[in-house]
Amino acid sequence: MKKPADIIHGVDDAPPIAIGILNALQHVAIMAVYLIFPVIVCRAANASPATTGAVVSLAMLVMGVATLLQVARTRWLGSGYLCPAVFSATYIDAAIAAVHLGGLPLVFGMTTFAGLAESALSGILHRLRPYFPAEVAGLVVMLVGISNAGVGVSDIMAQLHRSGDGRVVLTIAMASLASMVALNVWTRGLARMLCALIGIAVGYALAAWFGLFHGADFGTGHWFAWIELPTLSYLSWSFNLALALPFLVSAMAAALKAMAVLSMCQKINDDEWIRPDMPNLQRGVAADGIGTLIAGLLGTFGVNSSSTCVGLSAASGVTSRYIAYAIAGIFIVTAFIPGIATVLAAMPRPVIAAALIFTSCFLLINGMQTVTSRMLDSRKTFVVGLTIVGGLAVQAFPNLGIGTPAAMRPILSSSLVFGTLLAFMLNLVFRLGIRQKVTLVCQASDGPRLGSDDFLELNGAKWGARRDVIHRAQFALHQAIDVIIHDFGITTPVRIEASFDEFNLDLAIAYDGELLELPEQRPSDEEIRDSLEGVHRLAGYMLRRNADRARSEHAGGKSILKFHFNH
Amino acid sequence: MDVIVSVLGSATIVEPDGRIDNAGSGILGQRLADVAAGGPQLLVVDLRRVDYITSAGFRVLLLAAKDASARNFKLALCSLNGELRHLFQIAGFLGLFQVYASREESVAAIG
Repeated sequence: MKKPADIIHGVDDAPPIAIGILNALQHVAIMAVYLIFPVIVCRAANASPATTGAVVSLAMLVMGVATLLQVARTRWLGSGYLCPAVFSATYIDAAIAAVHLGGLPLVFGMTTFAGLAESALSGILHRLRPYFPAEVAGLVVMLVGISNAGVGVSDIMAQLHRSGDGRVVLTIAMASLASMVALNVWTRGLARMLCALIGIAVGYALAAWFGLFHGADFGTGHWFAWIELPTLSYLSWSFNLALALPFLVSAMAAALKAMAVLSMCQKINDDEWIRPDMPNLQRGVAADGIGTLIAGLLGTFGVNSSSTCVGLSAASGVTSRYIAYAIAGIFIVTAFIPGIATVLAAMPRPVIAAALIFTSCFLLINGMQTVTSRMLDSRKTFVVGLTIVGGLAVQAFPNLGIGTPAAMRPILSSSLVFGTLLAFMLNLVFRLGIRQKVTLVCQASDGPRLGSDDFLELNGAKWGARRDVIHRAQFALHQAIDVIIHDFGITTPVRIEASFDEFNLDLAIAYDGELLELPEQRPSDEEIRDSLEGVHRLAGYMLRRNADRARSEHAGGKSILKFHFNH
Repeated sequence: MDVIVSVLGSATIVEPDGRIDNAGSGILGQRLADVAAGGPQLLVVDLRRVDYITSAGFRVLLLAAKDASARNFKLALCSLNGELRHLFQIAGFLGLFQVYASREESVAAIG
């Protein structure tokens, strides 16, 4: 592993104490925003201020413990990276469904189940990759964004109908959202990094100005205590099979997101990173799952690796594991300071809506970028398009499940669950008819272009292959054909064979004629400039370095060039 | 492949459009030789519209560098996109030329 030049304090570095604490506080400020999710679930359950405060206190404890699990480097658990865990939008839909069906105990029980499920999934992640290609994983992230934004907008609409003065609700929500957006767009440094927290503070100030706070919002007595153990009297757990599928889908979505975020961690910490380290990802997803399991047992809500925090560490150049220890320490200590939890538990609903809409923007864009990172053909166009339409339909028509069997209702009430299942099934169906091995026979008389230009482009799109891998394979084809046709002067057909699965792209070029060698040593500049043989050796050298594996051989009376690209 | 020749300040800009393979390198090589014969002060090869370059194309650039040395003018490359930069890297050519982000930057730095 080679530390990139733009990383100041890498994974194993111990930064100076002041830098470590400041960086940890920045992460804590961002992570604190996600405490809105437990607050949202408690509000949906009409929980008392005391219960909400207790949930928030334990939520801080959970974030600290889950962050420690992720930075661990054990044989079975933990990626070893600074990859903090925050409460996840992925579980919102399922949790609110659980609240309506069985209150907070059902949320806690099903969250525990989801944590177990995600931990179990971590062991078979590599086998699931063909069924959850990048475009489906990106769609899942987009659906999380859509459902989050939907929760935020629905909440504002509900408040407008109930409230005596809708203008106050809208003013607070818009001002809070506008503050977050403006700081994110037009400022730099600390103001930009803390834009969400500052926007929330603006919302709190306006809510106080308009008299939206009441004494009951802050409970009685205990919030004046400096240190207090969170109450556990509200804790109990239950399980309902009807919600197993929604929580399982949420666990799958969380595992996919954790994989993406942890891949980002690997990439930003290693200048020589080429592809994800799967065993490391599996240990990281297992830690993510155990974090959610602990969250359920401690009476809170599902957690997930935070892409925002990883982005912050990349932007600041500080990815040291020691920051994770500091973050965990801060949250574990603040879990025992009731005043902090009480203030967060009293978060005004317009402010919560604003924060949800703000964070959903990043999820939407992140998901879109992942979807479009792969080549898309008509099959994938329909997988993506129909899934988005399906997710939006569930969002726009929340009563779709009425009149359907009880087992279908949790699916039809969540754009995330419905959309994920739809994407999975459409992807399976559209795999029919895709040949994973394709052949092109070109006539030498067609010249160097041979029709091979579209060959990999069209098939790459059908396969949903990564663009960068297809481009490398296209170069291999063009460079090899260029020498074979133009310099070796062959006149008989060239046979090109390409085969693909989610992990490998293999190319074989067979022809009658002189074998193009693939040397390991670069020819000198003089050899390249002054002789055709030097040009051929450069071609072979480039072909070898361009592929992950390359060889040239004689077989069956033909010269054959074989290139392997890891996908 | 098309090759556009223009002037920017004290530099002659040669901008190939397409693929610098065996066929394209012949055209590019001829244009570079023509420009070199005119005795420029600075010759900038702008690669922003190049899809990819093969070994034949790299040979043409080496010949242009030899010409620049013999005729005493400066040669620079500019606008290498991500994939083209990858090809220069695997061919071992990144350190051989002065490479700039744009033609304007090349002229400002050398011209």
